[in-house]
Amino acid sequence: MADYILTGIPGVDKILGNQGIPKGHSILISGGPGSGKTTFSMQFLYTGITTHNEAGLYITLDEDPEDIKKNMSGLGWDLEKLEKEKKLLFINVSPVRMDTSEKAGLLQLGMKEFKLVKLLEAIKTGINEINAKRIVIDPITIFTLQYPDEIERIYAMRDLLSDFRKNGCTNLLISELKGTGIEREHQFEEYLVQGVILLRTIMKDGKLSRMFQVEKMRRLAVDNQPHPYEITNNGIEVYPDLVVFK
Amino acid sequence: MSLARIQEAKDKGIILLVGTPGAGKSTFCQQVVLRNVSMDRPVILVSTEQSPYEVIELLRKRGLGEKGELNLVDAFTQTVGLECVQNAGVVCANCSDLNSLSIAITRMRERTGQKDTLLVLDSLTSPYLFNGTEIIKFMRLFLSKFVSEGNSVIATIDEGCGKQEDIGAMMSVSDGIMRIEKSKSSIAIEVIKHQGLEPESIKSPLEPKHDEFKLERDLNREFMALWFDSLRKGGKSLREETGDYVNLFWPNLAHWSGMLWDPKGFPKMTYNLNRYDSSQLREANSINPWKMRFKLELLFTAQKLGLYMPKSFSKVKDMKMVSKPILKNVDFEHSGIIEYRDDISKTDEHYFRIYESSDCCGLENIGCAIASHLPPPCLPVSLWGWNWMEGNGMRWRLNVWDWGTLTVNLSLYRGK
Repeated sequence: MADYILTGIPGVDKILGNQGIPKGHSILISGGPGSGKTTFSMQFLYTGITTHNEAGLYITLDEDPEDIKKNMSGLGWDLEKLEKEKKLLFINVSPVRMDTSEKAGLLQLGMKEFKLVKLLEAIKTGINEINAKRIVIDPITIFTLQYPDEIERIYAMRDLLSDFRKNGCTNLLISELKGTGIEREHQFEEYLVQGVILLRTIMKDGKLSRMFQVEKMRRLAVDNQPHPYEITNNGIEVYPDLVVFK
Repeated sequence: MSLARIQEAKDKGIILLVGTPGAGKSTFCQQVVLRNVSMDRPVILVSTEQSPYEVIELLRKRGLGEKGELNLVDAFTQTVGLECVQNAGVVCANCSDLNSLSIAITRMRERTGQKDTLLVLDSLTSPYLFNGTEIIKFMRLFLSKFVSEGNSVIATIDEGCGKQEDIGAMMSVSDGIMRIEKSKSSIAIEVIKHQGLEPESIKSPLEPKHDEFKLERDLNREFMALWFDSLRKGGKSLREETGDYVNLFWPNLAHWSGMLWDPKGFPKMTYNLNRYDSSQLREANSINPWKMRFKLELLFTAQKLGLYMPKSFSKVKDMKMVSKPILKNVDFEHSGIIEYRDDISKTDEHYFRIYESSDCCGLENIGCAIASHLPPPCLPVSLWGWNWMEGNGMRWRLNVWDWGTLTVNLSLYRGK
């Protein structure tokens, strides 16, 4: 029997054929600014820890983990507690920000020369430290930006993904979505990963609509249609039975 | 066919109610809401043209009890750019966005968690004006789906608010169509298409409203004499057209719903909903003479301890027994319950017949209100004045019925 892990995010598992994400797969979460990518990923880790007892690793390449924690505090999740219990680990591997101060329980790998090796190292550390089963990389865009050459970029990404396959963790890779309209260009990462989830915000006539779409999910018969979602006080809520109205 | 039948028709479909602005669509919807709430059917009311406070106030005026469960989707406040506050009974939506509307309804439906929910959408006009023909998709892809899950929908639309072909398309995706038309002298509701009803039209003349009862003006000897006479067997009713027998729905002993079947005169009189519990009576009791207060307090306490309320009383045969003394004690034809319909009553659903002009505590909005517009006798007696009553040769007799939390009935008898 193939193993799947439930996301625990309201409505999402129903779209994923009531099974969830295939274990060990790397899924791209793509969305525009303010579409709830971080919330989605955090929710994925949080429910993993609280309901499935699967430790979660949050690798941030851009935002300060403290900021993320602050932003998520409104959702009523006690992340500090999970960190203390060694269920959740934040690793900041931001290549841009230099912050040498060591914070308690926070591993600092900030550096200017940031390459694949460093990222893999961080993942390894996370897995060793807390036996992580779910990993979030926020955002993968920063990683790919390190490789200006396209061929090199694709190879780096492939190497990263093949490493993921070995470690057995289920990963969410966050990426910025280019183009918010219905028509958009596909990003190369979308072809490499095993699943793509789009969180899209569409402005039409001054109205903002949010739609959730599973564009691709290997090994699963999923509902590919867009469905409306909301960012509520409890996190993301997707409505799998509703269609999107323009 | 009566208006009640239209309002109660349980069709699994979308009923579209068409009418010009001011024809009475919202009034109709409110009646439908009250009627169904009284039958303990889950109702979701989507309000796009009025704020929830206005809606609740209107419904309260029409008889929604303080605790009447109402699930409201407020699609007004956000739409006009104000901040909407969500709580247990209110979910916010913006009717310029059909997604937000469908999400809000879905959420409310999840909250109530019951099947056979009635969705009252008053109205589709604003969503249509904001979204154009997308509303037809909304009806087909959302409302129809909602209906297919075992629910019903009543939606209103202003006739002439948009292109004729759009309204036509909305009609064609609906399972039933009704039209309300108002002229100078009458109001008519026409069933154009309906799965459960034959096409028909109910017409009713518009009449000036009855004057409200004014204590200082109307409570004089002559009037009281007329009123009591009207209650007596063979007495002349204060209102010419009263005299129909109507059924009172009484879901259980703990509370009742004063909701009547088959009111003929729409929209002259709408029958109101009452839910009684002892807390209201206890409040009223606070200004009674001390002896009476003491007696009542004893009773309330006893009820709280469950002394008067055997559980089996909800059975049909017990209910019949309970109603016997009421029937026996009624010495005015026009007063109170005249029959217990054990042939159609069920364990959790009891039907009584009362005379339409009856005067009975708890039925003030049903009987005496339409008959004479008198305050019900269960109003704090001190307001009326004991001396006044005694001086008129009337005597109040306190009748205590131990009906669960409902409980106390003050009936009026003519002194010998």
